[in-house]
Amino acid sequence: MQIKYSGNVRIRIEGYGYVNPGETIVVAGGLGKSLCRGSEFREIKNKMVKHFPEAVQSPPAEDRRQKAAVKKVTHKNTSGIRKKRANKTIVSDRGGKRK
Amino acid sequence: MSDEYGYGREQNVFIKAEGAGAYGTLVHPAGTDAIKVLSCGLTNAQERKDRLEKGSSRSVISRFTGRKTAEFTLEKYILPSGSKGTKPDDAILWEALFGQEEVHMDTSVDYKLLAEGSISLSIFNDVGPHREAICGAVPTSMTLNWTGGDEPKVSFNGPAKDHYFCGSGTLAADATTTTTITVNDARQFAIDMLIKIGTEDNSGAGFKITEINYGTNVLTLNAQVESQSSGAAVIPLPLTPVTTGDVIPVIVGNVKFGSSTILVTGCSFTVDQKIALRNDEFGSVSASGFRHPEFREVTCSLDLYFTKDAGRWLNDAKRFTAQDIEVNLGETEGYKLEIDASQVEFEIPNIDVPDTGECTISLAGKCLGSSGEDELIVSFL
Repeated sequence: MQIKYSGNVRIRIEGYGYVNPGETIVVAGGLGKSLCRGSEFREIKNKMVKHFPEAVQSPPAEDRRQKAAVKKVTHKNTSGIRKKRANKTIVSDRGGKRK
Repeated sequence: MSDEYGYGREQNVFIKAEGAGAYGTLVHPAGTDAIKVLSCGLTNAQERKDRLEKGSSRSVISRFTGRKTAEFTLEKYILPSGSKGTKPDDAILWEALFGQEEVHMDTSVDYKLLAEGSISLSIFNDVGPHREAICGAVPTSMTLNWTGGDEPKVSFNGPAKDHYFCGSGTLAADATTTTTITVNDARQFAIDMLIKIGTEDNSGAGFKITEINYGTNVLTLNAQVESQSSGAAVIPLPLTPVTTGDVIPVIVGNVKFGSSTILVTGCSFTVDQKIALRNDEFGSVSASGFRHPEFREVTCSLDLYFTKDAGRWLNDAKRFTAQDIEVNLGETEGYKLEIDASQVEFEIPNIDVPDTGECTISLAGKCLGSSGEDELIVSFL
């Protein structure tokens, strides 16, 4: 599962390596759930990202207004394009290594 | 971690504060409660008394059971978190020892002495396939030490109320929608410990063992196992340690007496809170709480070369002149430790004249309070 670390210091997860503040990582489900019980980790669900990409990155209000204008066009596009956008939003610079 | 052997290099320690007013109630940790240690030892004993009634034989025929005791000791590097105002992993140990913690956002985390601290701890120690734990642990003494070639370390030790040990085994029979499981050897397990059975871990919470029948090898659990086959592994609930912090290097830092910076080759500070467990009350098998009946003792010791300027410290000691000592370990923000002892009265030191090498003196003294409960302040900066 994908989880985002929101603490303010670099941590080390045994068996996974170092995680920097703000970093999104991919971990096994059991470990992810266990980490998300604390306040410094939260799960990033693919479903949520797909439908509400702005919720993940929280762009400024002006950007959101611009996006809203584009949104109508986006909905008319194929699901493939939407998927691509969603995938782009979940950036994990360490996820690949951890798989 | 090895699931077969207990290697010395494989040890994970987790510490959790027990609830207020719930001394000795074992609290299970999460992976984020981990601390990195150099060593950790949990010990326990229960008194067995010989029955020494007079008779015609010299044999001791039987024994009877007395009270339980437990202790812990652990040594670790001092590991600041890396961010000012963010607590280190082992914050709960410092707070339990000193009594109070002050977190100043983006500035520091300070530990100050309190007349009567109230925190007790549950400490878990994973070694290979084994997990042991103690409850009601109270850090009563702490030593900070370092030398010019040995990075700053801290050790804590103290008494505890009770001890638990949980090994691992396998299911001896299928377990389907049941709260009782049969294992190959129930002696591997202990009541109150959390286990994982095959692929099930009770949604991450683990299954707590509530009862053990050593005759039938049946464990009773606090939750239902859905479906696991005979032969499935029964192990302590796995915890993945999450830690932070870095070692403070010995190549940066200083020791000051007032405004004078002095060069030392080694230094240590010790706090002995002299906490006593209340473990003598009739009708209980182990301690029911802890008290602070004695004066605490805070001491420090510095080793330095007996150079020309160092003579004044010897004469200051002879005149019982207290020194205001400030120690700064490290220089990178977020990775610094400051030790402040504002009134240290040294014993009169002896000059050590070796056959070869330089003369040295050891300044050992007692840290005194000023307005009370202020012999020593430790700050992560």
